[in-house]
Amino acid sequence: MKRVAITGMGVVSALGRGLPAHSDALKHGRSGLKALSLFTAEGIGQRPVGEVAPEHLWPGTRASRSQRLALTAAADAIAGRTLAGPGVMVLGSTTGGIDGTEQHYFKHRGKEGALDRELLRNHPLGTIADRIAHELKLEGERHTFATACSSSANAIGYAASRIVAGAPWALAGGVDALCRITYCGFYSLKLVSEGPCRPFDKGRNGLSLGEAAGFVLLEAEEAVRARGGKVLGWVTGWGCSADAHHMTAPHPEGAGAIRAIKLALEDAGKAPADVHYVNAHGTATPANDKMESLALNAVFGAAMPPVSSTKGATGHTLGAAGAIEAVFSVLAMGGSFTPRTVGLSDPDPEARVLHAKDGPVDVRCVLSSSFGFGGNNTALVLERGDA
Amino acid sequence: MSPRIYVSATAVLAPAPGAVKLEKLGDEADPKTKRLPRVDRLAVAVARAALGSTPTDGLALMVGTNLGGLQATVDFLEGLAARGPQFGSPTAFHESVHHAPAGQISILLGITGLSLTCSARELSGETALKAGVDLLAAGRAQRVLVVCSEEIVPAMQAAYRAFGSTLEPHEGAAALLLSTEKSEVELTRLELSSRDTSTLRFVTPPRDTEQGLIQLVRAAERVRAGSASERVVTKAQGGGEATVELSRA
Repeated sequence: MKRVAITGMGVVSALGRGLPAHSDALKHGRSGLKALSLFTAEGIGQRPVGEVAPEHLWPGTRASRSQRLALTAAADAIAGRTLAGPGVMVLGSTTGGIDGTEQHYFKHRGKEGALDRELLRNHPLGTIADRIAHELKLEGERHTFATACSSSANAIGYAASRIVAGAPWALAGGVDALCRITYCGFYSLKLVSEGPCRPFDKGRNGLSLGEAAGFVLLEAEEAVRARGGKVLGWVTGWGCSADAHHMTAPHPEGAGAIRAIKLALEDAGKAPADVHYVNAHGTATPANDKMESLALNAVFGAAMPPVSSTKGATGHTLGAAGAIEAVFSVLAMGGSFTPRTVGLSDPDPEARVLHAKDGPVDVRCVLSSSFGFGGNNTALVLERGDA
Repeated sequence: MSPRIYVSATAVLAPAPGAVKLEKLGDEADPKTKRLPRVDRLAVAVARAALGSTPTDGLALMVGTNLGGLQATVDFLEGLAARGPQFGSPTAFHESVHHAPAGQISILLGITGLSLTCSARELSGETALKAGVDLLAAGRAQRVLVVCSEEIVPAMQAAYRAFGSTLEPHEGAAALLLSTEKSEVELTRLELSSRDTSTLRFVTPPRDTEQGLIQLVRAAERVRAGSASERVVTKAQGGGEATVELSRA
């Protein structure tokens, strides 16, 4: 794929709002995980999650929590610029405005009546893109991808392909807010860790959920150079595959993940040895981390670059994960560091990768992987922008 | 549009006029599908019919759905409400995600290529079609199977009525197989646009005809039967609009 310029980035997560806050937290291995406070879940308890501080939510009471998170990050990515002509907005999300829906359901159990109907207004996933377009005055196509935890990685990949095909700009990213359905849902699958998650650790016992939004503004290189703009990073490769294996369990040998990673590298024209850091999906579930390490070993072999999962710092932010981790990858390249895996203390010999360490390191090319329910596997290749 | 894109096969499942549900989906004897949520069964049935014996090598899958696994969502929430937060159904949970129909199609039909699920209210099918066309044009797939599927759920019907809608939504599914290999029906125009709307309405504007990709499959059938060209315009709440034109190749 012809390289596509990243000219704006916005991110909000449990680590804070904005690029400096995230860069600093990732560089120093800080975690945003703390006991759940947004709601209670009797019988499960207040397990560690990555909640966004209320002051980082976009103001407005009629918007869903996902919309308010997305607006914060999308506005930060655009940074007040006027985007000329109809462009393309591509959003990834898993649950959309389900927080309102579940409140309504617990009150009314699906019964007839208009009481509290506003809680249902933002249920459709497409309302997030509509709200962003309305609030930020963006004209153009609106796409929402819902491939579970790979949603926003696919959003960025597709958006980049639209820039290559001639779109003047693309705003791509993802969002998911904490809600009961995912907290209780992952608990029902026995995948929620009692303590803070520990990706790739021998003692890992599940994920910690989080909420976040991340967006990148994409443009063609020629357009950026013509206006003298700065390139923060490049999207150079996108690969996506389906496991065709199981709805929740990854392919045990990582066959689909291997295909996605190889497709992304091929798309970018890169050999495995060209990759300097892998931002892994790294959910800290026993199955994911084992599968992912098999896939990374199959692709990289002896040329394994440093690998880390940033989910120990943010929690697993589901549909937002691919986008915020793409932003983190660009921050790592720009700041010459590889984020360590927060929560990792005793590496699992069965999930063997080269773990990223603290300290300055030259990072010019990153592979970021994301895997979702339904066996969706996605990989992005990102490269360092202007100094 | 470059390269030229053709609709090489179609399939549709829609209730009889005046009905909101199909009497049978035709998969009742298939042990692999009969227990799946209805939105999955509808999607798998049209995907299987449109794909036929087409090889899955180089095949991408695009699924469009506005509300996804809504019955599974309701089932999961009902489990929490009735039994407590720690007793949610794991099956209902994973089937509640919008990507579940695509996951089931890929598992049951052995599709391992690029797979996306698109959700854009009433334009979910059209945005899936747009993504599929773009991927074909970019050379990321040799063929693309575009599927849309929606189920109806009593809680959803109650929600429509809560917002004053007189529309009676119905279930349905449609599939189109896209290819760059020449066939009778050519996709000659596909445009998505949007206008800003200050009213983010919940209700779906009533329409006289069937919706989304079902309309489009009907149009493709008319072209295959001799019509020179067909144009389908779909407007969605939130300000989105899609224009699709099909011509006899």
